[in-house]
Amino acid sequence: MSQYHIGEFEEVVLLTVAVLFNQAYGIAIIDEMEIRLNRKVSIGALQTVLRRLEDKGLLTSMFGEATKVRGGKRKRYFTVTPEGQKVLNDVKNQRLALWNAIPEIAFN
Amino acid sequence: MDEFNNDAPPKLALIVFRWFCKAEFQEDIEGDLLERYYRHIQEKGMSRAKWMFVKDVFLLFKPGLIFNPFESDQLNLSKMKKHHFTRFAMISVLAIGALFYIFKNDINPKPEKQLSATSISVDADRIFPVFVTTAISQLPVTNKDWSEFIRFIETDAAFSREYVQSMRPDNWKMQNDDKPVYGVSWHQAQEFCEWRSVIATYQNSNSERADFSKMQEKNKWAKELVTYRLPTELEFNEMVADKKFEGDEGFVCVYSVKRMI
Repeated sequence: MSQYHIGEFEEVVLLTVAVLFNQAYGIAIIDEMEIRLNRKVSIGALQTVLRRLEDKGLLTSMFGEATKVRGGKRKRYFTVTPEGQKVLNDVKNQRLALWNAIPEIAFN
Repeated sequence: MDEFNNDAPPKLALIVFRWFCKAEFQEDIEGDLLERYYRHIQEKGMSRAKWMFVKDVFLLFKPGLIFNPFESDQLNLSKMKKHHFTRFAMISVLAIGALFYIFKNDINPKPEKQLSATSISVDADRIFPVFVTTAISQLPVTNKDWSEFIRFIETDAAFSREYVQSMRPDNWKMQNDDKPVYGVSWHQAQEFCEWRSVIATYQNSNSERADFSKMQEKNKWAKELVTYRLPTELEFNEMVADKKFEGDEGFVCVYSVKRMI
């Protein structure tokens, strides 16, 4: 069991960063979440969670290239750390264990 | 991307963002803001994109992203260099002095308020803070007052003959006595109050009267606005209850002065 407990939005952000692999920067993460989850996300909400996850050691970041459409500002690419992977696995296993524990009659 | 050159994002929002955002996050978040902004221009149009940019900046105002001045070396007293400390101390003293000065000037006029026994309000037309002095005249409007009103509107070009005619009370004869004027309708009394307000305000700063329209124009910049009005029902009932006024002796005016500060 990981020492960190993550919220639903944190989990979704971590998973999206993992989905995007090497291309996970702010706007790409928002786009991916909007497409896959049909969920509107503001830059403010996302950036707060990204910094928090980075502080927890679940994400790491590095600067990438600058483009003209970004006013010459560099992108910050995020990647999931081994600790982040462990937390995601824990969460997934907990969920699966809960799903498996549901008696068949409950959803019939 | 040359087509974006004239589509700069709202400057003020960008300045605000750069002001509050932590330096280490600024570059990439600003890049994200701009990338989203230029995409919104293409998808939703310029005005909506600008509005959404401002909204994005506003939503970035979150504790984790805001720059804390006391974390910086410049404002951390334990890390501060001697000459920085001296400058910081001087600025602090000046700021405290300025605040004290503002506060002192704010409370100084209060004795005037007490003298006038009224409240402070803001003049909506001129957007200046004002002190208002209100008093209800003990004496009813007299025949002499009304004669003066009629004489003025008869000679001033701003008033038509029909208007002058409509301002004559029932059974009116020009009289110069100090008896209360009778037979005045509510509308006539209102018009009298308005005229009297203009004259009184103008004569506060000018010895001679002028054309009515000219006086109205000059009054817009007067430092003291004198207003006459009819008493409210509550004021009237109070006067009758206090036996200051019988209720059947013409009408009285409520006088107030708004002083710009």
